[in-house]
Parts: sequence; structure tokens; C-alpha cells
Amino acid sequence: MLNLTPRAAEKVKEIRDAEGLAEQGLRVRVIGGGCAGFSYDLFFEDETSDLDQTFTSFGIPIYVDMMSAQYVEGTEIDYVEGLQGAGFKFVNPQAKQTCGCGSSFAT
Amino acid sequence: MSADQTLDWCTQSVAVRQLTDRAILEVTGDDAATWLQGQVTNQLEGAASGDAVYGFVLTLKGRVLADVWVLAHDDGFWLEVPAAQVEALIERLDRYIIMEDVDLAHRGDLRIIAGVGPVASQVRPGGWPADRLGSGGRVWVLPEAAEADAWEEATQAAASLQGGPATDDGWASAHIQLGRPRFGVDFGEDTYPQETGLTASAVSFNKGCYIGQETVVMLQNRGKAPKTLWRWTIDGDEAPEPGATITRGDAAAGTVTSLTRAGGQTAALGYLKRGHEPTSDGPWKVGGLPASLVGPVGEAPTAPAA
Repeated sequence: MLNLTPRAAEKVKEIRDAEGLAEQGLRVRVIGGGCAGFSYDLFFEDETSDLDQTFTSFGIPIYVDMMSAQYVEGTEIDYVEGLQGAGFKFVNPQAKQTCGCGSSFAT
Repeated sequence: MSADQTLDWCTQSVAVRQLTDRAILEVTGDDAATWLQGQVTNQLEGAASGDAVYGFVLTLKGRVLADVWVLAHDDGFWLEVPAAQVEALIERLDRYIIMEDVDLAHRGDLRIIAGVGPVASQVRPGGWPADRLGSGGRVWVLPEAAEADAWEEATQAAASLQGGPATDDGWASAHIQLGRPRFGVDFGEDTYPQETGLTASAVSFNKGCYIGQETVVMLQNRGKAPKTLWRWTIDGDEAPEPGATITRGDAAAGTVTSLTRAGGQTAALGYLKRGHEPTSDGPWKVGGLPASLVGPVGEAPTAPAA
């Protein structure tokens, strides 16, 4: 299971509408790399495969492939704004360590 | 053949060697380049077929799991790595292939021949530039079945260039005298990149994220490495053993990692602990014998110890 916070859902809808991608879902992917080993990847997509898990949060379809799913199970995606910039923040209960900039994690 | 002859070949013509202590990992797939960029310490962006890049693969905590020559070819990359680290590297690297189109394999069917010296590129065509000792060099990767013929040709070519095959002792001695540390001898899994003295040739500090980078950058920006590797000479006919203690006055200041007899004295590489950097005079001793500090390894001018 994977959820968006209300703020994150609002931002996703805002970006999706601005890009004219209203029919598409949010793909969440984990890729190898970053200081701590694993990085998150977010993008809009309208195609799913049999290997995807599909969730819905605040009406937004979320797609996660089966390999990435094992690393993001239970994750909440928030959207934060601060002096150092704004962006989506992943609160991942499986992450034992994150790098300083928060863009990558270790399990 | 003497060790001194190998050193002369390495610096003045060419010494060739079958690298039986090194192995080839293969990285292929549409995402090979971008994925590999996130795994090694040096800049791979822009590396084209025929290019070679030296770097480290680090543990998550920023220590050196292996040194690696990344050899770019038309279909992907070969990684020339320490043979003893193949299993650990496969485990470490495979862990970070999630959904990327990357295939990683140990190519046990391939063999490696290296040429070190200013005329190494004349030994045989092809290969990749690989300057191991600061005097120029080349590396060739061959199918196992072609190795015997290629080695015979390489030794003949080296001889025609006033060079020859490096012995085990000569190869080790050349590294020590030229201040080039070896993985598994002078540095390893307990070593941070900055401690090896090889950051200029193995680490990019502006390439972006790679595994272990955060520790490396913090060490670079905020503090000094726990120890640093230096070149030493030890006077006299006696030679200490690797592991001998380096002392300054009465204080234990570090440890020797490798030694070689050359020119009536002993050349050595050894670590100084933080706080014992040679900002003040000795007297230095290695294993109880009077010693002189030559300079830092790796990035210093690579003339043999005087």
C-alpha cells in the first residue's frame, strides 16, 4: 500500500492538469543509485502491466512495479515547501538511512 | 631478471603482465551507462567506446570495496576488478539493479594483459588506455583461448621495444617505488578513498550522486581522513616486514603496508594516522630502523624513491 498526503495529492493534480495529463496515473519507481543506494522516481503514465500493483489515493491512480513495491510498501508521499526548495518527500518505513538531501535511501 | 629491470621497463619502455589477480565483470543493457554512473566514484558521463576510466566501487558507508577500470566498448562496459572481489562486487552491484535494463555478469572466459610504460600502446593494437603507474599504459581483454598466443606476441613485442615481462616481485616493487598503492595490499575494504591518495585519478567531486558519495564528500569538505598513505625509504641492509610500526620519536604514528628492496635500501608505503601528518620533523623510524619520508602516494611526481 502507498498513500499520498492531501498536500501531495493536490500538487500531483495541479501538475497533472497543467501538463494536460488528466487521464494519467502516477508511476512510483525505485531505481538503483543515489548516495544511499536507492532513489525514488515519479512520473505520469497511462499504461500498466500485469506486474504492476495499482492503488488509488485521493482519486489519483498510483502504479508501482513489483520490484519497486518491495522497497516502498507502506510509504507516504508528502509535498513540502521550505527555504531549501520544494518537492515530494517520501516517508518510507523501510528506509533505515537516507542521504542528506533526502533523495535516496537505504534499506 | 631483477626487480630493477621491471621498474626500468615500466618507466622507460614497457613491462607486460598477465593480470591473473584481476577479473572482468560485464555490464550491458539500455540503462548500463546511467546505472553504472551511480555506482562508481569517477565521472563516466561522455565515456565512449575505447575509453577507460579508473575509479572505486564503494560500500554504502563509503569505503573502497574494489578499484575498477571501466572499459567502454560498443556493446556496454567491461569492469576490470580485483579477482578476489568478484563475488562481493556481484552481490553489491546486483542489489541496486531494480527495474533498470542492466545485465551484470562475471566473464570468467576473458583474460587480461596489461602493458605499463611510455610505449605500451605499441605492444599490440586495440585495447584501452590504462595508466597504472603514471608512466603510460594499455590493457587488453582477450578470450581465454587466445591468451597464450597473445601473451607470446606481447612478450616478443615488448622485447623488441626494449621492454619485457614483469615478474611478480618486479611488479610489486615498481608500484611501491613509484608510489602507486595496490588494492588488497595497501588499501581495501577498511579504507576511505581519501586515504588511498588516489582521489585525483579515481574520484570526481562534481559528478553527482553515487553510492557512498555522501561519506566521501563529508570527508573532503569537513574533515581529514583518519589516515593517509605515504612513501618511505628505510636505510641499511635490514628490511622490516609489512605491518611494521612507523614511529615519530616515541609515538606510534602508523603502519607499513608494503616494502621492497631496491638500490641498497628499502622503499615502502605506509599509513600515518591523523594527527601525525609530517608537518613537523621526525625522527621517523619504521620497524625500529631509521627512515625518511619521501612524500604522498599517488598524486606526487612518480619518480622512484631516491
